[in-house]
Amino acid sequence: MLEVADLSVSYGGAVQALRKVSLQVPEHGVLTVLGSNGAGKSTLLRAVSGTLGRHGGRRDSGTITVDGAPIHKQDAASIVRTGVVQVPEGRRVFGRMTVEDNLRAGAAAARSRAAVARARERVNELFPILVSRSRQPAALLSGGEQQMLAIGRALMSDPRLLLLDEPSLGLAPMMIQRVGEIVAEIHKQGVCVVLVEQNATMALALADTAVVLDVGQVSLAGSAAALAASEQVQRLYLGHGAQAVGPEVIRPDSTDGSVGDDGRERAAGTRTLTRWQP
Amino acid sequence: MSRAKLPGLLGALTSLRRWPTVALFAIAVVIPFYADEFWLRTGFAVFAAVIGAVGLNLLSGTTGQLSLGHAFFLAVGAISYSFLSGEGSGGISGLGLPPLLAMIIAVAVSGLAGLLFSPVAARVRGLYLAIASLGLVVAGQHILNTATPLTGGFNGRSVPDFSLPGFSFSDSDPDLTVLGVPFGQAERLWYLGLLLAALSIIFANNLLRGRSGVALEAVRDNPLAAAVNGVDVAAYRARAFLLSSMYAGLSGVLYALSVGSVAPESFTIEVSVQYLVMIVLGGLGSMGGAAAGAAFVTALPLVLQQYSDSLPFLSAPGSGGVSYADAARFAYGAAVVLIVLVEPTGAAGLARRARKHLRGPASSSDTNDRERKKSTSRTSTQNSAPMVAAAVIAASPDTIPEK
Repeated sequence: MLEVADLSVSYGGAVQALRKVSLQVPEHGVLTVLGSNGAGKSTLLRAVSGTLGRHGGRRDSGTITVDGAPIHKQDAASIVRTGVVQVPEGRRVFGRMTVEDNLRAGAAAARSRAAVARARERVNELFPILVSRSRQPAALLSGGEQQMLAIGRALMSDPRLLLLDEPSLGLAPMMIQRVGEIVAEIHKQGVCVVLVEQNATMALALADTAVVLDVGQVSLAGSAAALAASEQVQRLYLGHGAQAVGPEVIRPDSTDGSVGDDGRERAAGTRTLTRWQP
Repeated sequence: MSRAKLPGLLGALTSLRRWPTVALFAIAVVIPFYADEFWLRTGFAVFAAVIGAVGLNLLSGTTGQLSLGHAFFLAVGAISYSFLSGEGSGGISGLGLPPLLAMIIAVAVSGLAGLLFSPVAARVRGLYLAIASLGLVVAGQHILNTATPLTGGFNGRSVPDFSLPGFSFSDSDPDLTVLGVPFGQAERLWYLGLLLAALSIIFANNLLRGRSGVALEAVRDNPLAAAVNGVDVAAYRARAFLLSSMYAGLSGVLYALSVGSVAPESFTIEVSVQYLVMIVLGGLGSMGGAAAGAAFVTALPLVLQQYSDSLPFLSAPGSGGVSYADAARFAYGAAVVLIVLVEPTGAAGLARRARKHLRGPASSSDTNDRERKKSTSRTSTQNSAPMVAAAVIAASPDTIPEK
């Protein structure tokens, strides 16, 4: 489905955000991208969705292909038309517009009225809350509802691949679980997902495969279960062995305590971890 | 939604859901039977400004692109019309085309000028576009002053009367009397202006309700989110600019017809600023508001001039006191400050409040929703209105005279 090969990205010609990153999302797959702040997770999604330029970034080398067709030279709007849609970090709903108009804006790249109607039906089923709020301005929705709206808006163009940038950001644990269920449901309906997350518990539970980015490079890759079981991921992202944490992992963004219990249960996965060879 | 499917003018009028709009239109239709020529001429100038303000509002209010180049496109429309329909004489050339054709081509030429500039307009946003478009006005002034065969140079050139085949918008040809009222040039132009202004507003409102309107608002609210949802941000910005310049072109043609001659001083940076004032006073993003703002800014100096003899605080221009032009500037300068402080959504916001009062507290949940929508759109416009106001003040130190 999606294949990223040897992708290098820099900002302002000075900051190297990604170095020769390669990864694949298989057909019907869910890929989770873990990593601390500044590891290049969002940069990766920006590169795929063609919005690097809006952040002052530039693709230096490497290719991005969807079903074999290169998309790295296309602009954001035509990438959406190929079926790759990003839910940007921080939701970014159109605050002044109603929920209804937000969804209409999401259908900007839709091919036909029938496609819009179908997409609308799916969004209504997934997010009944948006139906009851359809005439309200999006700025008045709660954080969780805004995240639903952002996902619903992305679904309006009937994507084949959904890029989710930290959908759990700033949400209560219960809402995080709800977002996780929704992503799982969307995947079940046949949409590939790339999930960038700091909440590793939720992200690894959803994914088939996962990669860990570390300062712009892929440091670990493998099946989600294997990564969940790996010592490093447990230590850095699942909140285990806090007393054994070395100085190099004391980072302000390490996972909050509320997800630790859940993560412990997940750690029972088999250890088939492969060291990533670039 | 079925309302949107009603055809034509009827549908447009009912879909506005505002009987005040319909009533206002009806009043405008009967005014020529009662008002004298001064008011009709003022009204025609207002209609011209309404079209320009609606066009600028599409760009600045809806798409969030601040333009100070509006005067340039007004000039392109006005000069093109005068050149195309005028006869050449005394070093000034003209093509002598039928005025209707000249008007259509003038709008197209303004659109073309907008199209040539739109690659710039598509790439810069907000205040940066204001600065870039400022260059157009400066260049425009130079062209207006030097391209004498086209523009008439410093003294300008006269503007031929408008006419349709078999019907002239002058005092005769054919002589026309309706219900005992002789229809001279002022009456005829009033209806021409009313029709074109109404069509301009209806077209803009229809555009806003459709898919393009949603896309333009998305570009304004968050260009990045718009881009990742498949809205071609650059293309929509360019289209908004194109449309706005065509509106300005038509507005320029009507302005030229209302004044009867065009000279460089009619298209200075101050005119651009006046248009920004119109849309801030009326309420960014509201087409009805833009019309109200245009009426206020355009009519006020004319009315003060007309009645300056009977207003004790006004003195004749040049005599040292406050002239009618100064007073009008004071008035709208004060109005801008007041609006930004008290009601940043402008006249449109005031009208909403009034409607809310009339309707009484919370008549239905639907009303609640709508009011809630309005209250946020108000807070969010609070962010952009001061920005526009700052640009207004920065760009035009002489808006408020130093006295």
